[in-house]
Amino acid sequence: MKRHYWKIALTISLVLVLLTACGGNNNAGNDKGTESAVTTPTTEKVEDAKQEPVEITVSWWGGDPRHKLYNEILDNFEKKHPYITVLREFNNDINQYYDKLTTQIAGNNAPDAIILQESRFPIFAERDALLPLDDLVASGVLDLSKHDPNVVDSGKLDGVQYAVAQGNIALGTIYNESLLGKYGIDPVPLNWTWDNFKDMSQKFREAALADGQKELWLSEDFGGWAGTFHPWLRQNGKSFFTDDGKIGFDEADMKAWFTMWDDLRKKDLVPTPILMVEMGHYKTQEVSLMVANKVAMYFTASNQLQIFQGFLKDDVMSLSRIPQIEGGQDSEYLVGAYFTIYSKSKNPKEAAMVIDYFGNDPEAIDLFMMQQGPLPNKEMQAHIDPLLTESDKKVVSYVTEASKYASPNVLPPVYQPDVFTLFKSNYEAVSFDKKSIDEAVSDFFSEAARLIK
Amino acid sequence: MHGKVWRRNVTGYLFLAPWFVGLLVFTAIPVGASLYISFTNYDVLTTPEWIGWLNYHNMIFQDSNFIDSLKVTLIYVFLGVPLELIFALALALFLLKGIKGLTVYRAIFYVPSLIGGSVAIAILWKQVFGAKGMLNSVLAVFGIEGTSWIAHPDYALYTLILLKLWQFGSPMIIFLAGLKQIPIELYEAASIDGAGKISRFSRITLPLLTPIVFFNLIMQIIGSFQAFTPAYIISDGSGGPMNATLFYTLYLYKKGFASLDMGYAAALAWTLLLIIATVTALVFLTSKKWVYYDN
Repeated sequence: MKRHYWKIALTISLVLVLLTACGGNNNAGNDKGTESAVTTPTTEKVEDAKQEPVEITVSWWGGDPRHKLYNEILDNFEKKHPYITVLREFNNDINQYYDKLTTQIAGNNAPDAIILQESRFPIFAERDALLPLDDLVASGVLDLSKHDPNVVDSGKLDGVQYAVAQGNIALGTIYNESLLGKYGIDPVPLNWTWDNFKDMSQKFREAALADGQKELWLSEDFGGWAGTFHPWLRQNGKSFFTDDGKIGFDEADMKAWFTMWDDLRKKDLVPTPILMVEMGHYKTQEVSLMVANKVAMYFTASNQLQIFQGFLKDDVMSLSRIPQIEGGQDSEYLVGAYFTIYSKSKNPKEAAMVIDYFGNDPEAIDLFMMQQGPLPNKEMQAHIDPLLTESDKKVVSYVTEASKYASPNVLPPVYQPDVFTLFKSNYEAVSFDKKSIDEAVSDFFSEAARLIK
Repeated sequence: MHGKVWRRNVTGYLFLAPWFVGLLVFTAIPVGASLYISFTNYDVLTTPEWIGWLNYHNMIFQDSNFIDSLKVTLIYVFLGVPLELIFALALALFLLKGIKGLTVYRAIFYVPSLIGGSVAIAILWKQVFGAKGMLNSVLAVFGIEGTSWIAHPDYALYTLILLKLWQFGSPMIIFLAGLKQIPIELYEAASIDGAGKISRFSRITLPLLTPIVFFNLIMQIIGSFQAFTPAYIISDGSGGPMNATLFYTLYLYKKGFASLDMGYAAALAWTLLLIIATVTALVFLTSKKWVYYDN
């Protein structure tokens, strides 16, 4: 009997080892795309020397150039504050970014400092996933005193500060001025109409075909893209969603929009449906049709001008307003990327220090430049003025101009992704000749009614 | 007597304990939680509220995406599995002949089934069947201008079925093992009696192989209903174009993680379990008619 005791002891110790292994905190190094840079401090800052080492995580989305940039900025931050180690999580796919974030929040291990879009941070704030920042702002750890008060307010919800803008962005037309010029088209004026756009598409396509370019069009097919339909609706005094989350337009509007783009498609003035499925509506600029030189124009966020310019170094990229409706209303609204702090962060002070560094420290600003549009900190904007590139200057002047026309945008309801997908799916059905426009529109409305609660 | 038996077994139970804890924590509890969640409106960020059968009701009566995903998945399973098994059996018969380099061929044919479900292969497949992909380059040699097979709503699903066929190696190996077990004397006796090749196949090989066919059928059906990675990668997570590649599990994933409707996703998961269980049960029930056991 006694000889069995050693087996029992061995088993118990194995079980204990297993339990301790399961209980460990594993989120630090395991994520795909997470890098940690631990720097051995050569000089110790006096005030940091007394600090316990702290580890925080910062997360963002973007393309590879942005990952490189942010990592460099965070490396510098670590050198300045040797007791802080910054783990990084980044993603090229914004949908995956949000998928992962919600999973992490559900698992109580979200990153400490999180970058979110203006349309998303209210959803997270309402669900208590974000930390109110007022105390950190008041104590000066997160210094917003030099930020434009309007921009500061845009990060508030019901008067509570939840988010800090990294910059201002407006929707606009980003286009390849050199390519347009090559085919005899003048730079896009600030104010132009959808009819101008159609004429320009025709002229551009004819010239491209004459030049032997079978796969080159002026613009992508935005017929199924709710993100462009929405501003067009605003020009008509409507909106995709109303303030209380209902559909803000009728069948006639949708038919008019689908018909406009369907006509363009039938005349071969936009890329084929297959090409649109394969490469359209890029996830990141490097895989876009514009960088592949198949289109010359996008209706998209103004801060992407510098990114596209970076990829198309030999061409001049420019920025203008999106086409207007003759006699219609202004459709611009300001968007942006916002820094937030996780409500259950164990190190909110250090997370706030990162946000403060990104927004106020000249060392960071020199690298960051206008990655997310004109800077909220007006002193910093003046500081980088001598360093601005041509594209940067275009963006500053465009956003300043667009701000004049901007009006508040409706906050998207939680079912927006589903409704937008439905919209796109029905347009695809039309472009592949599977449904008529009337069918697609009525299908959309009956389906959407079920999605909207 | 009782004490002795207990003491003999306690060591066994203790060794079993870690696995049991794992089963409980990683399987039983999450499964139970998911059943509960399917009756709530859990959105991942806030506490779930009980809503009864609402998710299931909406699923069946109000969700055209659910219907689409069922259609897509059922086509994938009921077209893909038989084709794959026929292909696997055909190649097993071919390899049975004992050609030179048999072991090499066997290994080569088996490799795809090991890596086929991976992200890397899905990305490769996307490239091969894309507009500028390898398939179109080959077709161009014959003067055929190919479209983008993965981006076209009519063809996208079939590229995925093709990917499934490519993984025939693992059922093939099992068929091969089954074929080798058929006594050669039976074939010899049959040829003496004048049976031709086809007769020998349909009256000896196939009947004696039915247990293996049954096994492969069940395993492949269960696996195919759960297919996710290829559809996710090839459609970029969209299930498109026009829901052409919206596999059931992909729709589940989208609902749970993209739309944050985790209660609904849980309901979808349990419905899938029901579907797979029903189909499997049907195959089991009919098996009495066509599976021949050697006892």
